[in-house]
Amino acid sequence: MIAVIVISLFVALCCPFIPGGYENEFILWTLRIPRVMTAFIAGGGLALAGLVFQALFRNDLASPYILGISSAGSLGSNLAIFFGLGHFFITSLNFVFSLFSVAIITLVSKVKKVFHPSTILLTGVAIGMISSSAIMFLQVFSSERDLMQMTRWLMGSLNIVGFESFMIIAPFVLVSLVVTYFYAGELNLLSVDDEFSQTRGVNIERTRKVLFVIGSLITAPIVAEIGPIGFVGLVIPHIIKKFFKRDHRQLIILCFFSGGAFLCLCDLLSRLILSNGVMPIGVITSLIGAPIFLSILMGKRSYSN
Amino acid sequence: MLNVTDLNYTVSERKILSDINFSLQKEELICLIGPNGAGKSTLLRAICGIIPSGNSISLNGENLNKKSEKQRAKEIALVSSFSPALNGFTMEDLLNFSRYPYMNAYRNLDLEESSLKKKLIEEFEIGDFHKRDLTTLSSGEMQRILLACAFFQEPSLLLVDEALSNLDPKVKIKIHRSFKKWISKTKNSLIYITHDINEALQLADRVMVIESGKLKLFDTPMKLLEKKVLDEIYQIDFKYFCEEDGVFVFPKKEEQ
Repeated sequence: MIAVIVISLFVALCCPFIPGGYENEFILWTLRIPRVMTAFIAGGGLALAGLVFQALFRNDLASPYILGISSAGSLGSNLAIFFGLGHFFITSLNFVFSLFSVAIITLVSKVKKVFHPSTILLTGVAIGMISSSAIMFLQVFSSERDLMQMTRWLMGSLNIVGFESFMIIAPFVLVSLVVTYFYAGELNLLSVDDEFSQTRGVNIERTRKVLFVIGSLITAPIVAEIGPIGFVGLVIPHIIKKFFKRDHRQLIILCFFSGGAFLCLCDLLSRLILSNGVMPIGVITSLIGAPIFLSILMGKRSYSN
Repeated sequence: MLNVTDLNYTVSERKILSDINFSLQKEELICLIGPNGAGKSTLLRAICGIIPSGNSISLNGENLNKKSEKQRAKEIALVSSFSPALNGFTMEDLLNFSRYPYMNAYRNLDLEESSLKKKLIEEFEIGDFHKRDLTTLSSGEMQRILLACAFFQEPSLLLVDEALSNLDPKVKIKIHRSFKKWISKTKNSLIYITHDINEALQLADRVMVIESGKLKLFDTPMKLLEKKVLDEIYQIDFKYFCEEDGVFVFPKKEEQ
């Protein structure tokens, strides 16, 4: 575990200096370091949210975006772009819409009188579909310039200046990291079985609600600031679970650090791959993540074997 | 130690449990029998707090409703025959997770707990499954692990819901011995649901019979035979055989 943390931090510390090292202090402090710090905290947050949702729903396909949070958020951002509003509204409307989707899921569970995984999942999928359709509806009526901006936004981007994005994402992710760590025992049990958890003293309704809110509060600011970057939340928890003991006290820390390092590396590649521009990071995470994921999935080595 | 008073449980206007009243003494092994759908598992789930029981159940003089979930899990453990999502977990994981009521986020098992774990692994002969993915185990092997997990919870009341059904006779007898040993050593009690009436007759201090959510009988095994309750609740005729080591019952063959 310590090795993973050290390697992750090493990767993150090296990333700002490639390419070019200390050549331009202004670029380093205004662009590179904030960018890498944001990538690290966002990657760590997405991996953590993925881990939480996978345990919560006992479903290996669960990721931070499964509940339609990112789709609803994207709808908010696209609405802001459609009405020609500035960057502040693009991110704040995203955040508002993300939380609105969380509120709808909670409301549906209240009406159904049970906070059951399948109810939450199906409501999330429905929200995601409505949001995606609404985005397409907006795109039909958008100008070419807006359409370009919307598509670009949906690909996710770490083109940020200064520490503003980092300062918005970090408090949510770091507080959630600490709270999640105190729920590690509950996550262990929930990922086995509901009845197994209940007979060991877990209040599953209350725990599910808390963890659901935590996962949502990690995802919403990340999507609002850097867009819906896929695959980190799905792949990193899987890779970590494949090689380490299934104890969430370790998994939480490992996912956070390796998720951070993974997004830093993807960001580095996105900067290096094109000589005259930056490749959208969402493209890189899926292009790199998917083959690694498939090879690990097919490989025989795992902790339990 | 356990008092159940006027316990009722209704789902969609269907009464699953109806006016259940009984008291359990310390150091007792109770076998719970009854037809399918009689409410046996529901009763155990009410006792361990998975389904609501109002103020009907008290353990060691304290209302179960007033205890926290963790406190309840320290006192009552349930072993049931379920199929959990076990992909990637090992026997040791399940054992460690079973200490949850006693743990916090940053504590590992202490020496005493580790030696108890080792003892249980030996007693239930599950050492060979060490680090094996649980999905590769048979249902009988899994039942042994779940039994060890429940004992690792160190409860004062153990509830066993048909959790011996997939074990071979040799292992079954060994587990029976473990039950008896645990009861006499710790002065605790155990309620065990079984469909094997002969097992219930041999094992139980008292037999509890439930039919259509109602408590039909709660008495010694001999009373169960005297009152011919079995014929009535299962609606078939039973043959009774008296042997040196007890009475055995078998369903009569139906006439062609």
